[in-house]
Amino acid sequence: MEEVRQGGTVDILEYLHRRLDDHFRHLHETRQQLDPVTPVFVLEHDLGETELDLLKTTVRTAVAQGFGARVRQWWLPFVVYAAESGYDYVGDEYWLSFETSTPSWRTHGDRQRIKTWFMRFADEYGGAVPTGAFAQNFTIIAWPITHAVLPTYLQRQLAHLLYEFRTGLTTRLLGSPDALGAILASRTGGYTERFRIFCENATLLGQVAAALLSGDDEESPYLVRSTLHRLVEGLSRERQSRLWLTQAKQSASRVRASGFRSHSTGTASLQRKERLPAATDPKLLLRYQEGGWRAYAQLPDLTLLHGRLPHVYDELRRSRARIAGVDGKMLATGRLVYPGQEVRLTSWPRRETPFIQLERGSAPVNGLIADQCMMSAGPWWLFRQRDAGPAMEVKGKFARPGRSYVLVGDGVIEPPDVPWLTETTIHVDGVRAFDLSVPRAIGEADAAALVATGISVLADVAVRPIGMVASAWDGEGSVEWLAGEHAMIGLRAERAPEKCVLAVDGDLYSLAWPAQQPDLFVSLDGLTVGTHQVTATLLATGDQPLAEGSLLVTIRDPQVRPEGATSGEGIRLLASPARPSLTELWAQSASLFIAGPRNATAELSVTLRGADGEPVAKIHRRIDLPMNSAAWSKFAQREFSSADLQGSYDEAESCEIAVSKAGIGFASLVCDRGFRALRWVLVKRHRRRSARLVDRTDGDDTRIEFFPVESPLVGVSYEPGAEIQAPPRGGLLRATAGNVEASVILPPDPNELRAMGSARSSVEAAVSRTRHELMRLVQGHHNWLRADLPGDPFARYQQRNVLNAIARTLVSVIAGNHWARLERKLELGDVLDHLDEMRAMVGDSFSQKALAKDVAHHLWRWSGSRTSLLSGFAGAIASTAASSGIDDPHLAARFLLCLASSPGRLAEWNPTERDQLLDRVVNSPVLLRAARFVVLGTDAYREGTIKSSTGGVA
Amino acid sequence: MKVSRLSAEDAAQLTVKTLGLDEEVVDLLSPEGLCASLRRAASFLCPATPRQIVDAVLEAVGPVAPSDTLSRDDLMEELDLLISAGDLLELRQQTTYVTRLLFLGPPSYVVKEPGRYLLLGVRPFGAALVGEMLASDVLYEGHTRTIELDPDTAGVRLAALGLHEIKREQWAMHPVAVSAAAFLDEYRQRLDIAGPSGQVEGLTLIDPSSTVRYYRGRWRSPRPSDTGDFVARRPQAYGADLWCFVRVAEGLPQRLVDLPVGDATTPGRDEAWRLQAALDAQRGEPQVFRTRTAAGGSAGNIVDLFSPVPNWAERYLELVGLSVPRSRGSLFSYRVPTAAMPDLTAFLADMLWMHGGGTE
Repeated sequence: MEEVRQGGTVDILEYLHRRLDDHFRHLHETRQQLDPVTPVFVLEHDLGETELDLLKTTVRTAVAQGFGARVRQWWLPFVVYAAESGYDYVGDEYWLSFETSTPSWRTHGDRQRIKTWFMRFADEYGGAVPTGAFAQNFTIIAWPITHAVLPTYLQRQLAHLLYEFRTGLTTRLLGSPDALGAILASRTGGYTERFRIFCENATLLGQVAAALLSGDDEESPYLVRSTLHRLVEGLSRERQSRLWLTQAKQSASRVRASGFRSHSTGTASLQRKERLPAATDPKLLLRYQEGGWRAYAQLPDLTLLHGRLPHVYDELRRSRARIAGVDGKMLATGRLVYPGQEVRLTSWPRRETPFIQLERGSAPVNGLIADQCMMSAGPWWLFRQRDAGPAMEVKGKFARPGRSYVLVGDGVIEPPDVPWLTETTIHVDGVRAFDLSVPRAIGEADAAALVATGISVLADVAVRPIGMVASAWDGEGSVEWLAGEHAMIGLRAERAPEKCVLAVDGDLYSLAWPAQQPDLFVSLDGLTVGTHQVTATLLATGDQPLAEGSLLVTIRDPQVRPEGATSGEGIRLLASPARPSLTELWAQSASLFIAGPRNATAELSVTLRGADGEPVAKIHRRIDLPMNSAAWSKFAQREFSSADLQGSYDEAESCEIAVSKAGIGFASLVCDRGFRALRWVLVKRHRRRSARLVDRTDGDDTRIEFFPVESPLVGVSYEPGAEIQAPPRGGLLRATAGNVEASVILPPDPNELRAMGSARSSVEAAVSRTRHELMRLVQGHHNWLRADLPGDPFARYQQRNVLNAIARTLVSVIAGNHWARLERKLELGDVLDHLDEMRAMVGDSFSQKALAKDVAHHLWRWSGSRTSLLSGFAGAIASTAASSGIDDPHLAARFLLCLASSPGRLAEWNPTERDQLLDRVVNSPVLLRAARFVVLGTDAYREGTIKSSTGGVA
Repeated sequence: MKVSRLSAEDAAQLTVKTLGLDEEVVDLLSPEGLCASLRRAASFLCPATPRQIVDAVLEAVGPVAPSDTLSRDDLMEELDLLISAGDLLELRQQTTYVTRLLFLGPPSYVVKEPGRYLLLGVRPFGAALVGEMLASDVLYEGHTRTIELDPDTAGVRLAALGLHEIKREQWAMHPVAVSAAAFLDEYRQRLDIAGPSGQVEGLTLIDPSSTVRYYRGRWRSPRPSDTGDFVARRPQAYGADLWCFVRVAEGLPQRLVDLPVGDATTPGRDEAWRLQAALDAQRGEPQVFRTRTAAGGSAGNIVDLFSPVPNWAERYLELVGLSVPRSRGSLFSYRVPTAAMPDLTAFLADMLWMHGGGTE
């Protein structure tokens, strides 16, 4: 580093400050002319390479010389320096790399001052203000990272996002960064968590995207040319990114040249009372199977809703879903993220009931889904029968002469009184179905009867897509194209008209009908994304109306192939939850299902990659297709603990699962650790484990505690930054900073453990059963339960022991002294030897004995299925729960089984509901004793410890 | 929003252009245009039955085609070629019922020779197989797509587009050569131990006595005079027709074996067509191919085939030759270099017991 003298340092800083001040002030004035006003970014400093080097050297010298008041008055160079650090940020520890490149910062530096200067920059120069969850959690580093515009490590992903969306670009979007940012942000569900965090600032995303998509020789109003060039250069360093960006720019250029713009009416301007179908609506269809019609629903791609609410994707990927009309069975966790799912309807959904609801989804997300995913209105639904394939719903409810339909309607209302309607069998509760064979000639009375049920009869004019196969077409009145495609429609008239008046969303276009031709072909270009009503009125000479027909045209954004492939491909990989994190994958709390042709084999590879994206471990295995979640679980258990992968897990930042068979298909899944402000890294040296905390927070209030296995709820504090040696028995390491936390189980040393002998986990609990004391145990259990597990089987073993110990203590505190003694026996003995004793100790009263007997009778059956356990136990405790003040037995059963088996999960319950239930259970401990009996008894059966006889239990 | 009136020709040209083809060169109703439409329909509809895909194209393209120039059979033949090449796959799907449906072949390529690459597969949601930068370099010949690239960088460029390489030998891997009699014996033994088939709805079979030079005309329903073992198809409500080998007595099916009996990832028709070739050979009427000199003399030979051949045979032809517009009366045609003719003749004779049906 070149040394600069003190006086020189101040002079240079002053020079740089004044130069930057001029530049940013001018930029601010220019940006204020834009509508809407767009912010200035510090990275837009426009300094040349030499000047930037001088700035960096001078700032470093100023810091090394004490960072005194004389240098601090010229603050703009420091802000530029911090933003430049943000640009080079690769997602690791900002302050650590800042300190490394800035000698003496640790001694003289002041993080808060950096933030203050950025805020001043926002005030004086119209600088960008960080927004989103990242900014809320990281109040200091959010500033330099936001002002770095697009850190290098995110550039590749932005190029990919622009490439994927290139066919959805319009001039309106290219001219409106806010709209562009919002729509791009809505499509980031499949990207890494870090990139999604960046995209939460949709305005920034839109400005960067609009600037990147500008022509090569064009000035962008949103970024200065030097910054834009820098980003493009960064993107172009890698071949693939360059390719993506080039193609996206070419598409944008074509859009600008062709002026693909539409009045931004979409569906909103129609001001119709009736809701038009949307791309996110389910598609209903019927198949004739086993002597009757069966109803199915094809579920839409709900990830499109991400743009409306940022956390939609997270809830979709982590939730099971209840589908209206699907009896009992929930859609597996995360499946809604994979478009193309089909479910069978056993009862007809009621339109007033939301078609899809997420289990424990937030009210805003479920509200949005309910609003955007609706089946069409009844009371009659029309399905067109075809020679091949299923009968698809005709959403427009048009019937044509000479065609056959199935009419489905509410079971109690009368069908239209027409002679060509006969009742048929439908295997769906709540509705009746009728075969409707519309004759070629329909009398007025029959047509009126159909119209009375909401079915229109279109006899004289057909309106349908022509030329290019549409992305969806129900065969009658509803068609879908991708944005940017020519929407070509054909109109066929039975009687030759003079002209046709076409109404598109209410705008009228008059077209002369080709002489002597039955067809008129029309291209509708530039329709906006959304649903549009197209109505054609055919007029004879003298503008005499001849016939009218209509078509619902939906334009949708281009869809992106998920990395796990689509339902139309030969091999497909589905995860529950969708897109799991690396930790979830490794802890096997995420399951995978690989669909593929039966009796075929495929190559499966697992690749662990480090922070730089390079592989640190890789395995190849041959698997049989399909691979269900049980087979995956066995595979993961075997392979993740193998020497090939286990040793590299802790240093890995991501894992790619790829499955392929040449000529048949390929699918992959990338699981990353996600952006974690705090993360523990375990290191093994000379057979000793130690842990180091990666701290990406602002770092002022990080606390570290260690909870040994022997006393798992008593923490010992450590200094941040210290490397922590794992004690022989291991324990739980927990770091917290503000509302961020990271926990990891430190594995024991198996050799030392063997020499020392096992030790009980001692959980100290107060004698009183106060809610505070009980929640302390619940929270302790939660901390151990949610801690990351390293790739070490002994860590899992120790974790289980501690969790059992805490659960046992908690139950003992609530359930009373007698039960506590029994728990101690159970700890040392075999549960099977104590089933009768448990049953006897559930309670003394007649009703309590009856409850215990009922439970004992069903243990075997309940051990086979969690659903039957929940519903069965709810039935068994219904009266006891009611007399204890809990009216909902299902809620009581869920709560009690959770409390008795995994109390830590209650930390995630609604606090008000949880506290009320906990108070009730404390006052009526028989409920918990019964639940504990169920949990231990069914576990024992499940583990196969009881081979055949169940007589002793009953 | 712009509304434009189009003639049928305008609409056809606009469609060709939107499909990524050169509207100056390719006609919507040409094999290239129809295959592009079929691929697009498949990209949105799969998994789907062949009928669904063909219907979607028929419904869209039919209105802009001059009357009687587009038939379902034509489209079905083009679809078969796409399956043979690997653009689409016919796979078994087990949900409530076991059905055979068409799936999208994965985006892939095969090195025909250094610098020349056969492109395969269909991406979902109507996405182009290769990006815009390479789109103009793709050559469309019948149902095939090839691209010429610098062999030093081609692998990297194609991989960057997400295309996986399929090795030549893997792509055109074929079964072992056996005699027609031995091949038939294996399947007849399976029929011997198969259970009673009962009544089979909608069964159609290949008439063994019909001419091997007109494949489409060989299909018919069973007749009371039919007794013996036949290659047949039976329809499914929600899947591709199931291919089978059926033992018939006086027009009534007795026993039946569903095809394929081997690799589940191969279409049943591969085994069916080879079985038919064996049946024809055994009755002394082997299937034939015709060879004639290509126009210009130096361009090698044109080989015309009159019966469909299994995927592996079709792929062999793709590798040694180039798909060209079919000659009159034939089912499909290839231009084959003269030097490759002896090997091709031996291959067709060894594997499908065919013989050259003369030259022109």
